[in-house]
Amino acid sequence: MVDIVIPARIDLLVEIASTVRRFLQTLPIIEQHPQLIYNIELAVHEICTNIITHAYEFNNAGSIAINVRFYSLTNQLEINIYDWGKPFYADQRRLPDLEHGQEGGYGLFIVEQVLDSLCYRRTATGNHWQLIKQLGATYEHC
Amino acid sequence: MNRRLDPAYKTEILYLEGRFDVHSLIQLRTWQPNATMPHIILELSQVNFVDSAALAWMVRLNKNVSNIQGSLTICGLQQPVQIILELTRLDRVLSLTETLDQALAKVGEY
Repeated sequence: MVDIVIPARIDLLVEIASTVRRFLQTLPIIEQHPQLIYNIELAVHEICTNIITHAYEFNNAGSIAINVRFYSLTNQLEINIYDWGKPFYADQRRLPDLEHGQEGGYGLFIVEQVLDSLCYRRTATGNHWQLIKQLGATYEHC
Repeated sequence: MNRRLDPAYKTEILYLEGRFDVHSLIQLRTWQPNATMPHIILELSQVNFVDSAALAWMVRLNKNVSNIQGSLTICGLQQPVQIILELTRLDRVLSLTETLDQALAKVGEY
């Protein structure tokens, strides 16, 4: 499990990415899958970028809390990301025009494509993003 | 970022390395394509991470160079980066080549 709290600054995104990557590389189920590690690292990066740019509007005063845990029984990776900035409004989200290429809107689209589940909820004091990725088969007990 | 000018092809080659993302884009803020070197090649063989901000920047650059009768060619993509471009279908919008020589040959066709 990894727990980090880090200032919400663009220059520290690399620290978040490397912390997540180091944890993923300790998981035997994923260590030989560089694309999977890349995709998960990118998903966390995109959510944190959104937090810095939209929830905190680059004010350099907020923080981001990240919890990463792997459930070996279900082979499920769960990443919870918290901030205490402005809420996210899904109805204001810009979707990418995949046919013609547009200058924005790719961030959350990529996250949704590379994960199995992305959930957002507004808490009493901030925002909570939950990212779920199934890393292998699940086995049901009979 | 390193830059190389190729006047014969009216081409500017930008060599990027490491992470190409919302943070590293800061160093490109002051750079703009110009009409004397309207063809741009992005050499990304040393780039191991590209985020959505970099994708958006490349799409914007592609439009900007079109406005000055130029072109954008991206070469040397590492596989994880290539897959993200395919995921967003930008591999159909942007001009991609495997090597710098192929990119220069493509510029020569314009």
